[in-house]
Amino acid sequence: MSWPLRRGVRLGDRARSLLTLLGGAAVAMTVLAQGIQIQTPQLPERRAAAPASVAPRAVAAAMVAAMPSAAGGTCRVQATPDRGTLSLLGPDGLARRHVPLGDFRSQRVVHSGDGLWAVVLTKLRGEAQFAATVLDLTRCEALHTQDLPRAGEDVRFERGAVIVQLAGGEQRVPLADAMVR
Amino acid sequence: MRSTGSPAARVRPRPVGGTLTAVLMAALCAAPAAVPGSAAAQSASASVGPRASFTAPAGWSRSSDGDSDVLSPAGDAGAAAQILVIAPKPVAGDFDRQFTSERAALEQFWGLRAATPVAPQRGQAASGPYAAYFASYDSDGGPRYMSFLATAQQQRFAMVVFVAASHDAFNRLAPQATELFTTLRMLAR
Repeated sequence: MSWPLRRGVRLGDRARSLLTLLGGAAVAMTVLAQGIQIQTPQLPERRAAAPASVAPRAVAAAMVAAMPSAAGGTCRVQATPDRGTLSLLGPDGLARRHVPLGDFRSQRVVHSGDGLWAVVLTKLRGEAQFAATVLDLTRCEALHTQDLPRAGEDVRFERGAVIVQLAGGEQRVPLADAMVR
Repeated sequence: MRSTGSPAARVRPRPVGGTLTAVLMAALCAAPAAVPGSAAAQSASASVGPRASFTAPAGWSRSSDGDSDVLSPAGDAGAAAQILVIAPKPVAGDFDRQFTSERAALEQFWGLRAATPVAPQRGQAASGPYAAYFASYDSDGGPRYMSFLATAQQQRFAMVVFVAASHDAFNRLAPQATELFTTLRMLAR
C-alpha cells in the first residue's frame, strides 16, 4: 500500500479476525478492509495566485476569453484532449455546452478576431473525410457543418464567411446559417 | 452547404459517451452555495450508465450528461459545488497510473493549475483498489477546490469528481461527495 492504514479506519469482520490472529499487527489491514474508507480533508482558502506562476497561460486565456465579451460573444471553443468533443466555454472558463463529434476528431479550432465566431476543422477517424463546423459564440452553439474535399490547413475570416485553405485551393464557408438567420 | 448527413449531424447535441474528458461541470460560479440540509443518504440509488450504481446525498439534484451524472445541491442555481460521477471505463493496466493519468487529463481540460494537494489517500477495499486526491487550484474562473476519487472494480475504472468554488463550500460539502463515492458499485455486465 502506498499509504498506511489511518487511525479511525473501520475494519470489516474478516479483517478484525485476521487482526486478532496477528496479535494486533497492522500488516495487510488495508488489503482486507471491507469498504472504502476515506477521510475528507479540510482545504484552506486559497491565496491569490502569484502572477509569475500563472502569467503565461492566464494571459493567453484572458485574451481568448475577453474577446467574446468585449464584442458581445459569450463563449469560446475548446476541444477535449481526445478531440472527440467540442466544449463551449463561458467567460468563467467553464463549459456551457458540449458538441460531440461522433467519429470525427477536431484538428484545429480557430476563433475570429472579433470573438463572434469559431470554426473547427475536423477529420473522420481512419478516413480521408474532412469537414468544417461553424460555431456562433454569441449564442454559444454550433451552427452548421460543411464537408471539405481535402484537409483544411488554415482559415481566415472575411465578411460573412470563413475561407478554409486547402491543399491546392480554398473553400468558402458561410458563417451564418441561412436556415436560421 | 450541406445541412444534413453525418458531418452535419455532429453538431447536434447528443448524449456524450463515457469519455472522461467529454464531461464538464457547467455554470460553476463563485456564488455561495445553498447547503443541503442533511448529509443523510437518499434511499433511492442512482445509476451511472448501465454499469454502476451509487447512493446520492439527500438534497442534491441530479442530471445526466450522457453516461455520466452531475449532482448539484438542490436549490442552488449558482451551483457553487457539484459532484460529477463519471461513467466507468475499462481498467487500463496499473490502477495508480490510470488514476494519475485520468486526473491529469481532467485538470488539463478544465484549465486547473497550481495544484495544492492535501492528504492523498490510497487503499484496497474488498471490492478493489481506490484512491483519493484532494487539492485546490487556480483556474480562469477563480479558485477551485476539488476531490478526485477513483476505484477499480470488476475490471472497470470509475471516478467521482467533486468541485467547489470556495474552500467553505468544499469543506461543507466534500464529505458528502466522499460518502457517495464509498457507495459506488459496479453492476454486473
